[in-house]
Amino acid sequence: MESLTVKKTSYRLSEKAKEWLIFSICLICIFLFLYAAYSKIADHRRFENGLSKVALIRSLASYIAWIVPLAEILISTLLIIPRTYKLGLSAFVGLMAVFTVYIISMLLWATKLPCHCGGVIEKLSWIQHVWFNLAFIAIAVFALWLSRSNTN
Amino acid sequence: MKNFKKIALGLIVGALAIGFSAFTNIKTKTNLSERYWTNDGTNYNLVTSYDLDDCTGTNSHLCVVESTDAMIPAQFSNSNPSGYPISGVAGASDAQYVDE
Repeated sequence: MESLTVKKTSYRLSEKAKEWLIFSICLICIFLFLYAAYSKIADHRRFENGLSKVALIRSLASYIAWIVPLAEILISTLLIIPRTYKLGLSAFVGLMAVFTVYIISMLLWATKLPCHCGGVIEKLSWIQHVWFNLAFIAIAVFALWLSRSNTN
Repeated sequence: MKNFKKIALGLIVGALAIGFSAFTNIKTKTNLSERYWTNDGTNYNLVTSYDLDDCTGTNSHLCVVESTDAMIPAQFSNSNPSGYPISGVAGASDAQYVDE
């Protein structure tokens, strides 16, 4: 009787490749957040005006209009500094998750969908925006997973 | 040195992001020589100013269009907008304009 032995072959990235992959993902996240933060600050009145049209956050619109771009800048700074990039990636995932929940809740309950995002991203529909955010969350989670397996 | 390189690259990407954002930032300021029409779902109506945040949902026609042609009427059907020399304003998507 023949015996079949299955060899498990696992594809392993070298430590250097992992490091550069994580770093590249960080750079992409930095680009996204600084791009979005700048457009929100440059056209701040419009961003605040858009937020003030959302019933749930109307009273806090003026604060949120500053907190969001400042949080994006802070997270980008954490991602730039090698010692804090893991914290930056976690914060990036957290903030993107908040944005995604906000968009989904708007899609589900809002009668009117104002777009107060910035720059080229504004051209995306709200559904496309959800997929866009989910893709960024996925790559950031992948980078976090890689960074954990990197240290073990 | 390795960390220095990473920080430098991060700063370069950050600068590029800000530069790119500044270059593509959508302006909504009105120009006196231009006239603007908003899409109410059936017609385009002449307006003095507009706010792209009032563009709602989806529609088969652009939310806000502009033209310098003084012959275009104050209201025209959105079923054949190509009959007029109009173009969408920067940042306008296919949507209905709902003024609040």
